[in-house]
Amino acid sequence: MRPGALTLSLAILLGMAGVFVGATLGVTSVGPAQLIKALTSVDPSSSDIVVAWRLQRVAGAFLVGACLAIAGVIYQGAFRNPLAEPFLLGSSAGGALGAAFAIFLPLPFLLDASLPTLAFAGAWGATLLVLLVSRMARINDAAGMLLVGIAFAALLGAARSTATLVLSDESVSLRAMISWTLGGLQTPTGATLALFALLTLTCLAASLMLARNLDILGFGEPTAATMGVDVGRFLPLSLTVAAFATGIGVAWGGVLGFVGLIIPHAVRWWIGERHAPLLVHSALVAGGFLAALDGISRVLVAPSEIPLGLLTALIGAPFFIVLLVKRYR
Amino acid sequence: MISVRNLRVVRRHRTLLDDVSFNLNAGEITALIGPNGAGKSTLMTALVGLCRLTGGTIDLQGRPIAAFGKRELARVMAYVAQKQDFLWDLEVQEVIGLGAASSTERDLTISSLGLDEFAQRRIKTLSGGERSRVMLARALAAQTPLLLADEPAADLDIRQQRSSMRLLRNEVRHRNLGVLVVLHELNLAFTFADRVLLLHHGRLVLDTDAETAAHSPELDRVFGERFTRTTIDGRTVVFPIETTA
Repeated sequence: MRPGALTLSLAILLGMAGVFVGATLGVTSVGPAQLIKALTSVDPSSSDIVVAWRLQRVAGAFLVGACLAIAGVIYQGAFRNPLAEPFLLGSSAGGALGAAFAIFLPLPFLLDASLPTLAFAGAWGATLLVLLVSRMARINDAAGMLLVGIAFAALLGAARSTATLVLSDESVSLRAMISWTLGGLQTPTGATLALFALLTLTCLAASLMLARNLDILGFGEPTAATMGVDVGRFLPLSLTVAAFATGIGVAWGGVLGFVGLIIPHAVRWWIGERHAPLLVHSALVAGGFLAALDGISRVLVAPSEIPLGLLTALIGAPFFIVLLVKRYR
Repeated sequence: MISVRNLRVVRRHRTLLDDVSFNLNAGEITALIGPNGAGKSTLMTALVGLCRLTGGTIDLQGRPIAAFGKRELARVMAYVAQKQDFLWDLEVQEVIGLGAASSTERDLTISSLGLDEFAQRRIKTLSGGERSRVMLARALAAQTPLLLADEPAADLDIRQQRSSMRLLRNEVRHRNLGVLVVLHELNLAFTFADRVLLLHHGRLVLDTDAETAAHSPELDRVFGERFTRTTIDGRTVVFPIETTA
């Protein structure tokens, strides 16, 4: 289907439907009327507060999904590899290392913002390291940079495991660390949510500025270069934007694999592969997908929660295998 | 428009281009011919700034080509590579639109190349020849003063080959486009080109008008064939003579 007003409206509807499902599901299911009451009540009851908290969490899930999808689309375009994942550049491992430090050695001046701040810094720093090493080694091609990313992911993963072993007090912090690495959504407060939304929109705007060149890169680097794309500059720039989106997603969502792979692929089948509409539609659909999945994670084994990262892996890994088989058969 | 002087490219102790000098002018089609491995594609990639030079200079509009930024160069020179890569399954009109100077140019080019019936088809559903025409259209739609094409006729049937060359000739006449085109089909070069460059073992052995080139004994020597010549509609064409042992 050609992307246009109809597909965009459908994507918005899917996003909203996902948020609705996510907001209504929980240990106590709520209906639309109670959702509206919780949002508008001047004198909220305790149940209203719980629902409002849930709405903030679902909104956070929506933004995490959108960020991971944006990052996924950019990584796939920049690496010229439809199987590329937001975490391939070591961002995930960097974010997880940052989170490990936040959990084991929280910075007092950051208070509650310690985990998202350090996770973001880790994800961001890991990608910067990859870019720096690539530049020092004069690696400009996508495959070479991908290998540098994989090497850093292994290194940072080992560093996180070491930190976990050395710094863990074998009780609360270890559980928190495991929960985070399995994908533990943070519930942003009102002000944080507004900042989170602003950062997500910034990522989307920046990614849309890359869209045309990502389309052109599909013709191969030599043709792209003769069509005015300075590949040596464009790759680090696009990967920086992708790392920014990943960093935000990792900071609030923990390690959530495959979201940036499944949704962009599904949207490619639906509206085609031009990057500008792909980015917008993927962000909306991935947001709805993760919001709905967050709700499902709360009811599957209620009153306990299944870590969201397990659900995304359970859905995403088979999807990835199917894609691999289709690609190489 | 392009002035090439004493161009030399050496890779891994192998000389790919040696002392190549020529000018490329606006308003004419220059055909680059030569046997496989003569250095035609290396020369093309050098001209579009994708190949490091060992020696010599390439000036474009009086400035060294290295002084042009990628975007600036793309506004002056469009390039159709020999190997086409289509990672994204875009629609034909989207592919042409990515190279087009404007949406009007995109639509005009689609019509002038007779691609209307393909416009909304996905590129991966087209044949090799159809894809080649789309990439030629993409380059033409950029409306650059210069067009370089590396074997744009390779995957085309004879009718499409001639149709594409006619289109290039029209563009040359109507908007003073300068064209350098690598051709394996010698008679396409002698029929449609104004000038012919013959490359052999990295050296330019012939730089002359098409008529003189068709009659040159260098042709027989370089290709290792005996050619017979005949004139059709004022153009000389060549045929290899098949000798029986």
